[in-house]
Amino acid sequence: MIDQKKILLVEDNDEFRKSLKWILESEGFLVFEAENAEHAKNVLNLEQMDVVISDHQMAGINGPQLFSWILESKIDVYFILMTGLGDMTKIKQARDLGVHGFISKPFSKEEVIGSIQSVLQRKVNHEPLKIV
Amino acid sequence: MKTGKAEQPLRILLLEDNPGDARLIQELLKETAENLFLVQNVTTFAQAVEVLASSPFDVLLLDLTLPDSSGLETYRSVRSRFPEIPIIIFSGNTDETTAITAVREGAQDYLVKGQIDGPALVRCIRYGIERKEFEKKIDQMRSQHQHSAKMAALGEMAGGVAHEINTPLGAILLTVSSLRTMIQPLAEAENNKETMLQMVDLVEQTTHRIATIVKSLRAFSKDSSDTPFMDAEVQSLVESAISLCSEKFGHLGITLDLNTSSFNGISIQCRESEIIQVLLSLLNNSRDAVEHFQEKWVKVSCKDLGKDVAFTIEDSGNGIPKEIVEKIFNPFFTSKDIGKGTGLGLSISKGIVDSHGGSIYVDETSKHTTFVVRLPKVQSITLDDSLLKVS
Repeated sequence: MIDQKKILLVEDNDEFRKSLKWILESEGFLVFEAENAEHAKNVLNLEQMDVVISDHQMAGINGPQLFSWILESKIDVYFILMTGLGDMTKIKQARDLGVHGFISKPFSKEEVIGSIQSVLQRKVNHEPLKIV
Repeated sequence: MKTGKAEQPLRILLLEDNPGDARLIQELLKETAENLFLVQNVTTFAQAVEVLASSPFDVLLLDLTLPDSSGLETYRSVRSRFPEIPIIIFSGNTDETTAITAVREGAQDYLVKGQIDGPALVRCIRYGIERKEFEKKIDQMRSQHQHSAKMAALGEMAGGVAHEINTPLGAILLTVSSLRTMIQPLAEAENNKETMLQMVDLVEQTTHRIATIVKSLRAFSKDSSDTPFMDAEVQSLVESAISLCSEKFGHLGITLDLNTSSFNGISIQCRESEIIQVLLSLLNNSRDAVEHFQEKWVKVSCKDLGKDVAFTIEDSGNGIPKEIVEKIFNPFFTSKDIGKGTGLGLSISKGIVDSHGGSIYVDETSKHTTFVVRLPKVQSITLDDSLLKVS
């Protein structure tokens, strides 16, 4: 597939990462995995991604901090943050930070695919990466 | 101090078996402040218990030495049976130390016989009553403080649990999704598509149910004393409360009837976790009330009253007896069996509803037990106000 979109999954829970990978691959995405933010930085430095889907809470650097690093490093990639269900404070903080999408765990296949498609649509529309 | 109360005559129960002493006290009260006191004299502990149980008194004047009880035991027995009434002890010269011990254990004051004059007696009674009122208030504040500390600890734990559980739940849900896609062709070939897909559905629905419980537990237990009012859908408030208790209703064979069409699209500004607490508390009360009945059901509905919204929780009970209905919102009042209720649920609920500018009451026109929680849709209080509020 020529236009295969590349997604980087940043998630420290192996089972969750694997289950999400299966879903995304079945939808035709090329999936890269990182088990923490440091690992994610290495991948992002080597490979151009279309979308990063990252957990919020991880050992070491957390999701929002990873997003800040991406902004500082001027890496051109869309960022979707995964938070706990009903975690309004984190969702609000993430929104203030300017992440392009967020999704509450646990989510369905339709929700995650919908979320990815909506950020990719913004890319098609050439919307700016950072919402100020 | 309450000035209003002073105008009403104070009802005094005088437990004193010596007729001379009893008369002296009554004379002193009469000459110092006529019409201020209504005194009833009883001479035995048994009589006092009977009278206190049937009619209200503002204060008990207690002689420690009685025909059927004596010493500290007299005080302790009364105190444990009637913790609400202020007690003033009469002691003789010989048992003053006993009287002091009683004061340490919670009696309001003591007077030594033979050294009492009218003004001192009146002052002692008045102060005793006021001091008892303060004590009750302090107890109430303490228990509410303990309650919110407990909720905060639970909230912290629930938050941690939610995070730990949501990720594995997410893994299950996504994998089930993948499985469904994969077995679709297989199931058709095997000619048992229905069953296979039903199994997948079951796993999926059950997982969603766990997720809802975790979410509700968290919303319910969050310490919200400084949270601003936020928009919440009536339906989601009710569903959160239900999800925390429906399992138990099912076990006990209690039918839970939600009039979901009555929730339709209504939303209110509130502290979500607090309103869930109120609804859950009412639902649990209903559950405890009807659990042993032949006919057991609880109905929840909601009415749009324009500016307000009224939640109605009705159960198959026969209403609340008139003599109890005015006491049910008092702290520590409970009609449940020992160990079942703290007597705090309704008083805390009332506190929460009051802080939302609403009201909570028993609908006495209903032939079943019906509680109504009426809340305004819009709160005038701003975020800044609520942060400034002294709790």
